[in-house]
Amino acid sequence: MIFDRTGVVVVGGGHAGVEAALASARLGVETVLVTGEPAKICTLPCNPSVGGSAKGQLVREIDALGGEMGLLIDATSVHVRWLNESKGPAVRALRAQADKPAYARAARAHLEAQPGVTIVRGMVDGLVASGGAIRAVRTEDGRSIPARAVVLATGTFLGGKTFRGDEVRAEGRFGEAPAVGLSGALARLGFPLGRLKTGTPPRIDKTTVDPARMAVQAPSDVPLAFSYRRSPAFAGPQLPCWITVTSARTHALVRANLHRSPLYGLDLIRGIGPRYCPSIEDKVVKFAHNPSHQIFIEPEGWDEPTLYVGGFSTSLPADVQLEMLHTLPGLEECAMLRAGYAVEYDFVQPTELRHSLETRRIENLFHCGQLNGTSGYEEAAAQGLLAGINAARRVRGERPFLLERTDSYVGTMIDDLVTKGVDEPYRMLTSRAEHRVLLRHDNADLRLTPRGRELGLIDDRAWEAFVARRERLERAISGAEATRVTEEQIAGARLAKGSTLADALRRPEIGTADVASYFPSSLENDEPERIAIEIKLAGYVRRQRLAVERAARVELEEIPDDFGYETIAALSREAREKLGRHRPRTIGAAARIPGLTPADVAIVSLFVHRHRTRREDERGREGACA
Amino acid sequence: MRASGDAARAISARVFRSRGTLRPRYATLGSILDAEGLEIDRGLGLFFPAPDSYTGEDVFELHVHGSPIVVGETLGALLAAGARLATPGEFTRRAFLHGKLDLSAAEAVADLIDAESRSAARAARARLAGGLLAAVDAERVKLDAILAELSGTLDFPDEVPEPPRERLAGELVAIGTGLETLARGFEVGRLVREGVGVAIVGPPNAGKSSLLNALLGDDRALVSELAGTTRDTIEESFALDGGVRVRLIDTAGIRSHADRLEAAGIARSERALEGARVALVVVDGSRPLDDEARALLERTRARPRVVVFNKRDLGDAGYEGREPPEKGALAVSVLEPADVARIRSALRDAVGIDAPDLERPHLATARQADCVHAALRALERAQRTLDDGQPIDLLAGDLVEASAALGELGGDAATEAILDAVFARFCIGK
Repeated sequence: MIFDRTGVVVVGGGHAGVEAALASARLGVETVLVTGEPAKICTLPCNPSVGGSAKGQLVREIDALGGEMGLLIDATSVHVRWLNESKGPAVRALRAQADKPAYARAARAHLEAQPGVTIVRGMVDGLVASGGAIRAVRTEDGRSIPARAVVLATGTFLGGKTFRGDEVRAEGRFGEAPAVGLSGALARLGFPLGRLKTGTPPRIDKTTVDPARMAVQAPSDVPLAFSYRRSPAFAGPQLPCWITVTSARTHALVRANLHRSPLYGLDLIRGIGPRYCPSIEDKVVKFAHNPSHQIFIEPEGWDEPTLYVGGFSTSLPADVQLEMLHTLPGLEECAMLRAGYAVEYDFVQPTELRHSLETRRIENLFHCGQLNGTSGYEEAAAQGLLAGINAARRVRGERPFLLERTDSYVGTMIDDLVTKGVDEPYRMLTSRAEHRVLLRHDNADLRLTPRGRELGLIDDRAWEAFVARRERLERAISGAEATRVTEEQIAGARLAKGSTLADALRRPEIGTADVASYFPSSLENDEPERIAIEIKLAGYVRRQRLAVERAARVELEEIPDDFGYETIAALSREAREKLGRHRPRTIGAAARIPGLTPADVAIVSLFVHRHRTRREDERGREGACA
Repeated sequence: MRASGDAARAISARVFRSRGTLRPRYATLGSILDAEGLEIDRGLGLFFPAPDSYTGEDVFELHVHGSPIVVGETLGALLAAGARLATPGEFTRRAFLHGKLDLSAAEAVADLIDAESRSAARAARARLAGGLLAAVDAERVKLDAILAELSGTLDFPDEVPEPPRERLAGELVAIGTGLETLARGFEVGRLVREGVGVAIVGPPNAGKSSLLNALLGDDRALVSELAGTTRDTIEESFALDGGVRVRLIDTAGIRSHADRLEAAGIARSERALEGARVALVVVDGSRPLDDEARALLERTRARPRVVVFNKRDLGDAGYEGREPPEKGALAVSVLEPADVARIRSALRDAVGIDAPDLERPHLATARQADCVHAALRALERAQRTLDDGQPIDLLAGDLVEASAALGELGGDAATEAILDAVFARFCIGK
């Protein structure tokens, strides 16, 4: 194989790597994806679900920009439903359960069908840099792949170690060899490495559970889709999920076996685990007052023999896991096909990165996904997309493509990562997005598809469909202000004479279904709902836009890249050190660095201002006063 | 007068001549010279080399006699020697830039500078001690607890149930009540810091000037003409027994004999009343009340006031014959110290605030009050969102805003805007 035309090398074939490789190749750059096992591309090694609160927004944003995740899950989901339907349009999100093998096959097929992508089997253990820029990657078997830009998307494989009780294996995930050399290669380039931990629950034989003893979670009975680029359609028969609960018996087993836990008793794990995805041990120890925890039983595919035991992540020994499973209603006689485990892996603090996800230390080197300390498929895919776009733009000599907190969850996440760093695996949450009324699941296309088109990731067909949709929505929204509603009472709400469709929709009691007949018949899919959301939220959206404009003042106040914090006496030593390390791009980003006081930020702002005006105002150094 | 900056030493050499050289941080007697080298005045010069000065830069200070002419000429000499006028708050801003002050200290300094009365100084100190922050934080903690619960149910819908709306409504009301108490406290703080405005109004010859002098009494030494007051009123101030300072807004100080028209008199007293919390109405009690006096009593009836029937020593025709009787009116002679004490005590009652009120935490600056009001407005929106039956996510947005507003009060979100506001409160030269 000849690699000398290679522009971008992507290391890793998970969600981040796949998005990165596809985006890079679609931007016209020859791209090589190096993975230890091509058959395991996008295997969804943990839960079978994609989307959910905040993560659903990420999937929509990836899709709106021209990424792949939405298409992949829509084509392979065995169960889709809305979350947070009653809690507000800005937090509503889709969650789907994937058929895992189908999802992986689809991902691989998309990669193979993409001109410009070459999949290469290999474990990368060396990074070749010179002159402060990355030049090539080296594989364990001695091959060197030259690259003008490299995207590292290595997941949990860096120095990966798995734990079940006292059984410790060198693994990136179940049954797969870890990447051993790459951590050292990163360290040699000067990157400080940290250690994080995550875990996965046991899988059980679906023929050995009793669904009658569990509560059913039914999938949506209408087809729902993440992607804006396909009409919603069921990917196949829709399967239910189930809910069961832990009891005092389960908790007693956990407590009785804590001495066999690699985290609590054996003290084998140094990495920090996610608070947002606690293991069952954590739940029992840290939330001892809860008499019971919900456990979610989810299919892993149409023909997969396994069920995923959600909320039951554990690293206790396999025999204890089975005993614990048997305390759950419906699972009393279940057979465990694979034990849960904890996995510990190296990560590089994302404060090493610019907002483009390029490292500050080494030019043309990009980090994404769990390597940056995040957890979750969606978080990884979103970073992969951005890293792939920016790596390709680097090769093409173009300016980086940046998203902001005010335009997307992706932008919010990346800003969180690069300005704050992580001290536990980072998960996207709606509460991290201060502008979430604007950043909705429903309007991701309006926010980002024009950006994706500019990038060159939205093809003509998708673009034309988007433009037509945008026009339909705009027309229908202004039309709603003019359409008279004839009823005086709808859904229990009294309407004044002469009320319009918009007036009706502004009433919280009235939903789209109540006034369906007034919408133009040209609307498709979820469009009536989107119009209702725009109208219902108009006041809140207006307020949020004002807040965004106010924030923009500090947000856009740029700090020169070489700004000399060490000369500012008014800053504490700690503040100087933090600022020097994080190198915030703007005053707004500086304000979000943990541990910096507002006074520190104010001082920086004053000095940045002074830095700018100094040359014009040398006289400004003297002052007199009566 | 103070000059700060790299050129301070050079400037000192141009405008100040003494026998020896200036010893750091020692006061030296010498001559202040104008641009031609002629002596303007004799005064004290002090030099503070960087970084051991207020601003952290080289600082040169001149202590001169207080005559406006001398001050003006000295300033001229400094400017001629290469200095420029400082912008408002620039000295403190420079001190801040050189690590001499943190933000809260800078704000507190601003208050100390403003604080004329003992009570205001105490309030500024109490605030530094963090009493206010604790009071604000108590409300913020409650807000954040609700937010945490909402975030929980939004981000982990499978695990955290949606909180009942009735309970949320009750909690929001309780937080609102706490914040309103704080907001009311700001009014008290402002009155103490700025002094309570008391307008002396009354017809000519009622004895306003004598009353003014009697009230100022021993405090006379503290009397000053404050900058920024309108040209035809004069403000003087004294402390009431409770420690609260009173600003006397006196229209009697201006006498334009050519302008004896009733309308002009009314206009003047109206202007004085505008800025006042309490009216001190002075009429001549020795004679039956004239129309102007009656009109004035009528106009001020609805507001907090003290009515003084003056010139008791000359007769009581006005006091006895008043129609309708003035409740709480005092018949006095300003020549009697006991009568003046009665007026002071009546004023204290009418003002209704004593310095001890300040020992409770209260908002001391307009910025802090703005923060609390912003939080209250966000809270009201949240309540409306809840009452309207809107989804709880929208509630969360308003609560985040309320919490952020309170956080800003504690300095959590200092921005250039806050700094501008803080530094702009420094008057030139302080």
